Amino acid sequence: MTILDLIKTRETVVWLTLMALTIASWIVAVNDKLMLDNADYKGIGLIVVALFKVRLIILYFMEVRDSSAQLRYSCEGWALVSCLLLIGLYTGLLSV
Amino acid sequence: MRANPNSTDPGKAPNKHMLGEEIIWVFLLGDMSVFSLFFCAYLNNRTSTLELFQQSQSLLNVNYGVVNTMLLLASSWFVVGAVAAARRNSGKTCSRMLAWASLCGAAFSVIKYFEYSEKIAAGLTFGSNDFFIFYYVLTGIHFAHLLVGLSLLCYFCFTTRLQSEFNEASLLSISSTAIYWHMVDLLWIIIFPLLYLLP
Repeated sequence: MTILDLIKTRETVVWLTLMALTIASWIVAVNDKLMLDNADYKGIGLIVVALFKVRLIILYFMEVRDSSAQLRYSCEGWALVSCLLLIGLYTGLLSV
Repeated sequence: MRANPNSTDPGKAPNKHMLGEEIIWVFLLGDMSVFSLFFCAYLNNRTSTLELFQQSQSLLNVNYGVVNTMLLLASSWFVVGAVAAARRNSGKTCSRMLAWASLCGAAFSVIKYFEYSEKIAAGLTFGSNDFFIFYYVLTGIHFAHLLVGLSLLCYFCFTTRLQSEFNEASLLSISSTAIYWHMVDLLWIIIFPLLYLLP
């Protein structure tokens, strides 16, 4: 197992996707003219992309994809509930 | 069923397995849930005092945040390589991958040190306002997690260097460290847009 072997794996594709999404989020966030004028939509987009990245890490880097259904549902459930709560609180639909 | 070092292809995990120990997963899911509550509290406060949070957020350096995100993603990638190398009983490669991962983690720490120093020098401390309370609490607790993970990565980097065979116990220890490190990474992936990017 060398760096070259690692580069050829599926996890490298996932890693490159994660890097690309990070750069895309950064560009969209710092450039006011990019993407949507509506700050709410932009914020929701950033939260969804972040939780999608989290899901990729859980499934591929933490190998939950090949794990038991119980662990997979627990992790995916956490990600989904967190995403919905964050969107709800960000948009003001939820408040404590 | 756990990773079996004697599987037919030792570089790959067998089907339907769990990376790391069960108890570590219980701890990680609990920890991640506590962080989720912190994130919710942050956004709840942000929504109610949006202007203050937006003004304070504009004082953060987004470049630090994005570089740190990439460093953690790179370190996670190396940790994936370290686990694969351990499964193939390649201690030298495992150690080298962990060294790279540790280096990325150390670089994150150095950047965090500069970021905190800049903020404190500018008078932006824990008590400055609600935003900075959340900023220091969220990044501080995350940083404490990172230091624990970094210590474990360094430990295994040295101990696996001369290892030519990985038994089930040592594979479990390395993979438990790996999932902990991935959790540190994924928590930062949420902290980064919440603190630095949201409009």
